[in-house]
Amino acid sequence: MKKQKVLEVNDLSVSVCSRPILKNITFTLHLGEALLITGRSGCGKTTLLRALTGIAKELYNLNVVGRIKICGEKIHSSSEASKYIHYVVQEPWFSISAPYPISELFIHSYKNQQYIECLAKTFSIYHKLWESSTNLSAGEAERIALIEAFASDKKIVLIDEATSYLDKKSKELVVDTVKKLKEYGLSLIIVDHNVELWSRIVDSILYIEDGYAKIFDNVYETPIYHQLLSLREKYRELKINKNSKNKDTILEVYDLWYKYPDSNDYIIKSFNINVTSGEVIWIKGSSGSGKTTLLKLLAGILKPSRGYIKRPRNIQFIPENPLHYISNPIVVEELRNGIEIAKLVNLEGSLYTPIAFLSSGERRRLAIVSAFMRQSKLLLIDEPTVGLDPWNALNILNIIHRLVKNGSTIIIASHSDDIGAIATNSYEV
Amino acid sequence: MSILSRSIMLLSRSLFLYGLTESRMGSTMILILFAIISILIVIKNPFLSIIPITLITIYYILYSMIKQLLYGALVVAIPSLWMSLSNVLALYIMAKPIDIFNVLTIFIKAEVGALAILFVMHNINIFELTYISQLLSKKLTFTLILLMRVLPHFLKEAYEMIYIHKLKNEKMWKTLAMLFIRSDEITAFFTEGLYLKRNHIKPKLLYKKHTLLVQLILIIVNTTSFVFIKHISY
Repeated sequence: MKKQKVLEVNDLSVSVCSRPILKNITFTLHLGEALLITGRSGCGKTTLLRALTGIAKELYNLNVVGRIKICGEKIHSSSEASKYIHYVVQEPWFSISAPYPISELFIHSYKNQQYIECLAKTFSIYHKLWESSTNLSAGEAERIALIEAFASDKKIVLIDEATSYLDKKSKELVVDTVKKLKEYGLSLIIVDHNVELWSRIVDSILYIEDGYAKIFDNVYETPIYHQLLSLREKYRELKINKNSKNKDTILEVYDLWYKYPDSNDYIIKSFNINVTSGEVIWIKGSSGSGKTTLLKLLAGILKPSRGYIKRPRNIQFIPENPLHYISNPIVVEELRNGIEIAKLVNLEGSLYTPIAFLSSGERRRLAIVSAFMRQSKLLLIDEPTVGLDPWNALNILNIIHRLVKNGSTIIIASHSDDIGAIATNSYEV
Repeated sequence: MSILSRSIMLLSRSLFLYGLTESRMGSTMILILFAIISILIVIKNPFLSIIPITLITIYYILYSMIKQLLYGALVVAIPSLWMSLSNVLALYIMAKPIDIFNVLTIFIKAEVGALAILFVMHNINIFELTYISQLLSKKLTFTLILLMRVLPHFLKEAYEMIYIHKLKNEKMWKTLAMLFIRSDEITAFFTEGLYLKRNHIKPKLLYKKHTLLVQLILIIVNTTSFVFIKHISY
């Protein structure tokens, strides 16, 4: 039986100030199908989603030409698109408007409380319904945003880089959620680099390069799959040799315990660590396991409930969002006119660029090198590769590798297995 | 961590980061009325504020939130104390006699008034608030829920930025400037994330019978006390 066409895109071109971003994109999406859009960073994947929703034209003043039809209706604006499309942005917590997940699902659908609770149970997120939306992890926020599409009876779900902020377990949960939505008859467009992850779900792949799109039926035939395979080889070249002879002790932690003032349970229990110079320590664990809390304790931002920490003066702590670290409006000021150090992280071309215009990868590089300038002895870095594509993530690991060679000691809290490539020691929390 | 910073941390977490507890499933309108009557009682006779304070305490105990009340009382005691002491200072400068009773009255009025407002803020029912606001304007409804969503998000980020900049030994004005940049960015992200949803908001009422019943008892006792006080004072 022939499936119903849900979305038809014909000759869609997007440009900014006459500079083309996307050229003559044409594809069709049928009911209950999943399409994966992939390509290198900056190729226009997110721009394509924005063009489909009308956001490109209305919020970003991009020039969008071409025909978009949803369920037979020609789409000209975001309000027409919003009848059919549910859009989940890369940082999923920005797709949630209400302070509690239950209110989000309740306010944006015609369904009653029983239906929403039942839906949440089906998608294994019931336990988070009554919590604060601000406290949701990226994976939980993503799943709430996804089941909202179903609760609000939308036909198409657009998901931008769904897995870039997630740990392994959360990635699998999100993929399962998307699979269930597909089984329930929703059509999905997923943007991601991680083509292998989606291989069991997607029906076709739209690969974008130089503004043009090419359709593939199998993820393993896409150029990006082969590029990622060769990238894995480069991770192996990063290994730092552990040499424990004649090393100074930089940090000593003995029997560390911590609980938040309004909590009855300890989030950190009897943690011990001894860090010597030149080490890269990897604190691993899933989202919400207490990795960031531990880094804050080591940095002195939080005071331990029990235990002992002997740390060097002026520890620098780079949080998950590097913008929280940066304290100057332009790169050259943040680096105190250190042009040589800017060269170390390939930022010499952006010295006078306002921080607001830097990409996430550039911000992270800037924050790491700025912290290194201020205190080379001990750097604490929270999730240095989160939200970055594999190429940018490799760039960051290269920089950390270089800093360690320059005499730094680094403690990284991360759920990403990539950190294993440079870690000399690891601890699980 | 000092007791004051612990209190501020706990208070802001309880206001913005706690979930939709059962205590928040009553009626905000009843709570606002309760707060107004409590303030009227305090104005009429500050020493009878023991009645609304007892009622508020019972509510917090009932919903296992007594810690929040204690820390809240401690935090609001600072401006209350400042108000009463500035009154002492003013009298001293003007070379007028200082009346301890008057100083105590000012403190109690400020403390109980602030606690009554905190009580409402701790227990806002988002469903009722959005339902009533949509009767006025849909834009107002979206603004209200977004405000309750964005404020804790921004506060959480602001805390982190302040602490990290402190480690960097940066000046406060630089932190503030970066907070402006970040708030611009947060606005842009939320705008894109919620752009398609802006026209599809359908507020509905949701209550818990038990919470409504407790709040009704509270307001009946408070109103009766107020009428009684008014009657006596005539």
